[in-house]
Amino acid sequence: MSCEKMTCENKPRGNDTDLTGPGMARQDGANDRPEGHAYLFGLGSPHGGDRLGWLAAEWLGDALRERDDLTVARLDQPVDLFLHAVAPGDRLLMVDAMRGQGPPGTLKVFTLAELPSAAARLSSHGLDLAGTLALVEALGLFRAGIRIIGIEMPADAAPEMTAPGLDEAQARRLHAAVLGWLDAGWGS
Amino acid sequence: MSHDTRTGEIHVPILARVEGEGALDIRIEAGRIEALSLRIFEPPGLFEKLLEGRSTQDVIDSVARICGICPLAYQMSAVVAIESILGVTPSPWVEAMRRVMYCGEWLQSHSLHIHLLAAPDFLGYESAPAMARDYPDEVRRGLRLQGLGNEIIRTFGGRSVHPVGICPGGFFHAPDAAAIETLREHLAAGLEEARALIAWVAGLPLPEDDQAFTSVSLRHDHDYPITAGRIVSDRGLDIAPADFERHFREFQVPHSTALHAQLDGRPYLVGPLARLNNNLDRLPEELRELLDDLGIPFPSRNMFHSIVARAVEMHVALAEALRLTEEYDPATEPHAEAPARAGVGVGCTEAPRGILWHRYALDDQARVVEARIVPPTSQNQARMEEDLAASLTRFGLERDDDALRLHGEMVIRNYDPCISCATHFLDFNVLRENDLRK
Repeated sequence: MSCEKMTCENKPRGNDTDLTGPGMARQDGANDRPEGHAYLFGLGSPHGGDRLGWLAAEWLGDALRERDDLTVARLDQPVDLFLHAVAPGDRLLMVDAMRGQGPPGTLKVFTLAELPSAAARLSSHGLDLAGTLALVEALGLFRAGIRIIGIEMPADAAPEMTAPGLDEAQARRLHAAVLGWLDAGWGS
Repeated sequence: MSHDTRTGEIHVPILARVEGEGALDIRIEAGRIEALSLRIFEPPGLFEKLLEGRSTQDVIDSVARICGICPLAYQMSAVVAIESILGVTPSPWVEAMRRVMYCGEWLQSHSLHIHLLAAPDFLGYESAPAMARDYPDEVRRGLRLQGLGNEIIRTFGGRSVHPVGICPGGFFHAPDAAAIETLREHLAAGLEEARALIAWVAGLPLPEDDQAFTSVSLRHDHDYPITAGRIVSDRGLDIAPADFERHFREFQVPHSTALHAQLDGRPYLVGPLARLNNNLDRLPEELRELLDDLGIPFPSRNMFHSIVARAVEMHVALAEALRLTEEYDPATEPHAEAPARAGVGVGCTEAPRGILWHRYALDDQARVVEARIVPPTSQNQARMEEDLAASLTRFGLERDDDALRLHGEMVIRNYDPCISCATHFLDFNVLRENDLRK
């Protein structure tokens, strides 16, 4: 059973609808709640291999909906995380599709220091993940920990291909990795 | 050595915080710039040729891929041209919502440029993260506003990168009322932040560098120009977009893979400063008063006031998006029918970086026979070279290479150039008298 099928009956608990919580109006209201809140953002788009990050966020949003210490959302650009009322004491987990790290479906957890820096450029065309995280670091946000989970895309992933899914075993590994991160607490 | 006898060449190898591949070469002789070229060696995209044979929807979806930050501008200019050929008149609802969506693109593009690309120059930081350590609130505000621009685009286009919502005659889908209500809450918060942003950029230590140049932009009957208008200049030009080719000439220069452009034989400026210079009376009274209070005189001849113009336009974008969604009602039919028809049509809209002009010829199946696209950065290239010569001379050619390089980069970055559309690396070379004697 694919991850996509596991969640298709449920509306994604994505950022598009979740913005009513941590939206613009609450940007300076991060102090309203205890620090140490965890954010899980799935990066991607609606199509192709890049969809894996959204798919993971949708599935994890359902699986972890009882956790009140966690906000799960989809982002189509990393910089959109600043629409949330993030605070220095919060923790961040980004889930994104990746390439070249193993067979399709491989999960890999990166610290900020381990993130490949090849794409860490600041250009007039936007901020990529590494550039956004450099700003996050400079702004002193998410001091309680930043992790990035990569999910290997299918080898032939392209915008035109059928959207990939995660099989049950892969979804379980992802769930376990996220639970482990959540329970590890500060500094992870 | 006296600077007025100085001779040499300057080559700038790296320009950061712009996108694409380019270089700047300057030759100085006897204390004067004898030659200056902004070399663009980015391979040409050849997009016009790739569009031939494609359907109108393919065109709208394909041209978005020309640019990662202004895909919507390409889509809007294309759809205006296509609708003029097909004889489609979008409904007032479609016109209004396209303007709202376009506001999102202005917002995200301008905010990125102000906070991450230009402001570090004026405040003396080598990078945006370095500046963010000392200006965390300002940078976070900018990132929120950029994200809000993305949210607007996503609301109408499904995603903020290469959105997919636009079709001939309108939109594929109308956002529901709840989505717009949520968006409006965020827009209202952003409007207050944009007002504070204008005051902040007006207080930046911007260089004084007045120059003579021609401002070219759209001008609308009553609105600040975004999606429609006549092409005007501050020197009397006032034409329909269909007459663009009679007045503007694009041409190849040996040192650039991007075309240069001239208006009646002279360089000209497009973009936020040109728009504001030509459309001050289209600003809300509240914004004109704010500019008066802040002491920034518009129309301005100082290119570095572009950053102020961008901040003003962010406020315009937010206020317009709020105004146009005030009594939002999802259209029962978000697009009009667009039957196939042959013909030739043009579209011109205001991309964040300036007017973006498209012309298409379609066959009777509404497939592209010929396409022509004139982006803002190619229009600004000749002006950038003109500006560099004047600005570096005023800055002082006797200064060391590093200082000249930094100033040259700042001048170029100020245009927010889009060489591919835009630049990431710029070679900068100087050859001075001593070098020439070797």
